[in-house]
Amino acid sequence: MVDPTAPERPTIRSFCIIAHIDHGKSTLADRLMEATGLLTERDKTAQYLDRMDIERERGITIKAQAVRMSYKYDGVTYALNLIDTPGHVDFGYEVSRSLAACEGALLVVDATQGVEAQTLANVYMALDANLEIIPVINKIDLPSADVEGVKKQIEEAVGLDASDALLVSAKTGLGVPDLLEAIILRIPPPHGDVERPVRALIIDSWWDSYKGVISMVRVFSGRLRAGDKIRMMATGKGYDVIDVGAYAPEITSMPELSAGEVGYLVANVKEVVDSKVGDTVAAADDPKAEPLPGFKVVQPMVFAGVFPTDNADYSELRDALAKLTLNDASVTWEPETSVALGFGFRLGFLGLLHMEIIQERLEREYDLDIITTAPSVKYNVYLKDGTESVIDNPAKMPDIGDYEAIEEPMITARIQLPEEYLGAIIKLCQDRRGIQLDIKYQTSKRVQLTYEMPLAEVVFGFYDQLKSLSRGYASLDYEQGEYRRAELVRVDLLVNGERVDALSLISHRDNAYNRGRDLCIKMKDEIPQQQFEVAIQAAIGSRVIARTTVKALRKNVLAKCYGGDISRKRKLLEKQKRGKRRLKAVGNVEIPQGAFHAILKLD
Amino acid sequence: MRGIYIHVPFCARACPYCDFDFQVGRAPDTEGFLAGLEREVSGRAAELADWTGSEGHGDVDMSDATWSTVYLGGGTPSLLGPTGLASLGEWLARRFPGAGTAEFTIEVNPEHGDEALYAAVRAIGGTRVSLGTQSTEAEGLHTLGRVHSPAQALASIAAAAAVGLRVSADLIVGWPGQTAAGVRADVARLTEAGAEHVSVYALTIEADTPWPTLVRRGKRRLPDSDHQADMLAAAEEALTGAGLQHYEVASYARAGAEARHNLLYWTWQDYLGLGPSAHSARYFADGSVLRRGNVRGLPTWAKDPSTPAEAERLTPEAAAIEGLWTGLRDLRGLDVAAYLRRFPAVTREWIEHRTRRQVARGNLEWSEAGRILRIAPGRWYWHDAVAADLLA
Repeated sequence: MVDPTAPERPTIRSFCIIAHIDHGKSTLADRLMEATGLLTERDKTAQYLDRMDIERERGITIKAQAVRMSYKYDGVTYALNLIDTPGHVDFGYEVSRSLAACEGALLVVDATQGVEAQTLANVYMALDANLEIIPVINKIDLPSADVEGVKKQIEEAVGLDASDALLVSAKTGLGVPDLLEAIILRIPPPHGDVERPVRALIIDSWWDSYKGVISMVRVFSGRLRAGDKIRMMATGKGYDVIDVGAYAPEITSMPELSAGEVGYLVANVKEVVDSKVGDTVAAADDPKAEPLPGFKVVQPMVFAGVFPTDNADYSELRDALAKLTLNDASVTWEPETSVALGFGFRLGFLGLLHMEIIQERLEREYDLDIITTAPSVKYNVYLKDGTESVIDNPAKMPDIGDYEAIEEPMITARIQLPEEYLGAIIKLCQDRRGIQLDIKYQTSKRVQLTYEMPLAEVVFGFYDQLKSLSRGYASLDYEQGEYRRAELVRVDLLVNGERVDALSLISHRDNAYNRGRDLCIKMKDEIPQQQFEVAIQAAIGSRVIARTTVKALRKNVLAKCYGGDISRKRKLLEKQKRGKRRLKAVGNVEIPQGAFHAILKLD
Repeated sequence: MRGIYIHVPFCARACPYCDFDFQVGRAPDTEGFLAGLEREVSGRAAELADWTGSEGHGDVDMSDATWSTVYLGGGTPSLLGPTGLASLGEWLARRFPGAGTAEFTIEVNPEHGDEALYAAVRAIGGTRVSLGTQSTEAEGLHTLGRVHSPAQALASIAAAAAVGLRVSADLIVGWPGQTAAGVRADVARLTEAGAEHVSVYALTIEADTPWPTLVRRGKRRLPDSDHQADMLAAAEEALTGAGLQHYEVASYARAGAEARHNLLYWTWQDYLGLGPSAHSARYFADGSVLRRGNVRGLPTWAKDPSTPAEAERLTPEAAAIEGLWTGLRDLRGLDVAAYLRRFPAVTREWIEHRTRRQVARGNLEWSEAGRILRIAPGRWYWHDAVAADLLA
């Protein structure tokens, strides 16, 4: 992507931090900002890079952020760009674009914990992107720090030379000046010709209520200035640049962003979808510009229905989705109607974590009570009448006998794991209909497995099981593969004889009986006892394959009158009533939100 | 009708299931308690003057401006003994002359229910005793942590009946280990001994009681909901078989022996609660109701007995909603005309709309050409579920 023959921009360094949750990424970032004068004591109340509540609570970064720091070293002032990358497999493409904007990466490892599995996938991505990786051992001030052990682990598990690892304590600031020196001396400067026509890579875009669409960009050649006419190469649309600059850490205008620099771009772009991650910004009058490599349109891979618990909240949900997708163009949404759940929307997500985040934001930021149905993937269905359709909702899958064939999306999954868990993980992959493509020892103790698997199998709790079987030490990343035929059937769930469309699932024929039975058992635990017996059945077409029963609750009465304390009694009743608010009445039966996710909890 | 409730907060020992307000471990300080009641009434003088002076605030039966029922509850009022009861009676007669003419009930523990105590009950105008019998089985009494014997339970009933007091007996069902045969035997013994009113409560474990600790130590078990339903059913069958009518969710009575004071709670009548943790309710002409709760704990209450811990005036509509589910405690039904007189802010259509779901489910039914709304036969087991649904 970088033209190595272009001149160096010797005073610029761009890097990211790769770290496991809790290993101190945000604290270290704060410390770097403080050492470079960007952050005062007063600003440090919150870790600066993680702006959204949910990110802060979960210790993950959803949106890429970048800050520009100035640091004087040996009489020269350097611009240091710290680019914060998302840290989860759902956002793999966003990570790859962020890495493309960097020349180096700090691999931060907790001196008391050692290398954790989750960081490995990102380390390998950084190595693939030819970044200079600086191992940083953090928390060396703690009595339980084991610096030598961790160095050895970095060399064995990651395969990096850790002899010159930096030793720091992000908490006390110990070793931070040395780290800044290493960033300047060890991370190569970017190359880029400022005299050539402009080309810049969009790392991320979001909606800001004051500025409109803001895009974070890395300029590879030329200059971007306010007033320039630009073109987004993927969409072909032209815009006027309104403002450029950097976050330092507050948004700060600059006269220009030139080759090698990282900063923000505001143009008259109306919607986030028009400023796509991975797209190339070129000059409007440069028809011969080549797009930077690696652009792809990110497609949602996982789909789920989102319904208001109370149907009266439908328009609030719609407004919330409209606002939320201003900031997250990777979520798709369209209206959906369910017999059981009424009017709602079908949303498309990058993956399961992405889905959880959106669900949580709808509930927390927009104060909505919602029910999310179990996730599904997109199937190609070939009907007997010769037509084809694409189905992302199990409820809409035609009845068995009405279709010739179904194709499902496959993925290529790369799993890295310590050798001792190999047996358990191979069995898991086989149970999930995986086909082994490769097995490779990276070190004597570390193995990389490559499997081709149906995406649908990965969607249903695979990641959680992978983590639990390997005590957290296996890492997963995957890429989309082709569609392939499979013997798939729709399994319906009936509650007191009525099909609950929102609970239908697609299963491989061989697993259908077990899935149906397990789902019935799970639903029995999820559905509270009611005034009457509730029969739960799983069926393929008209054939019932499993059944459980929720016994009737015999009484719901508290006889005591508390000596005339009607208020106390009323409060108890109000509590009972509130508990019911999160139940959805399907026919006569009240079903809690958790039941719509029971399928995810199947082993 | 309006009533007075006085909470007598003394017990000889704690029952492991009870979370009412009581004090144990020392002899009851009757004098101090009466001084507290006096200060409470003085402190609430303006409220009481306004209250007793008000007339015809939409009440069903408000011509009588006196306090027609009195209920001494607890705690253990009988722990005061004949002398203490006499003092309390004197105070009551001085402060509320004529109170309790319609019904004057005193809660009595069986171990206290002897001739001397009942003579004192009669002397202060008592007409009725509510006996904390709870069980007539030794195992049941042991499990429930009661100190009296089955024989004492029955003797205390017979002795009260012998001196012309009306007798209500409490029966707790659903304690782990109880059998349907045991419940039937309880009912037979209680009614044969002379109880013409029986209150039946399923054992309910509250968090702030010793029971959960006893469960952790393996000394008690938690009640089982299905088992309790079986025991409640056995009690209902035996009691109605013995000729008592199931007239309120927790109450059975021979004709004319219904608890008039307890019915005040469910039929939207005023009551004045005195003593620690006692509750008062006062209705206004627009159908709103003021609910007031005294502070818990004898020492705290005694320091400032007339300042409530909580006081809340429900809006006419909120009061009407509450009036629906309280009114439905009376299994004979809610008299729609009387209800609408009490709650003028709402209409018959409002009632029909609010109850439609439960009527459709068969939990509620209209009877007597729409004059009465009631819990359908056999559906009283669902009173709380129905009530919670009526809130929305």
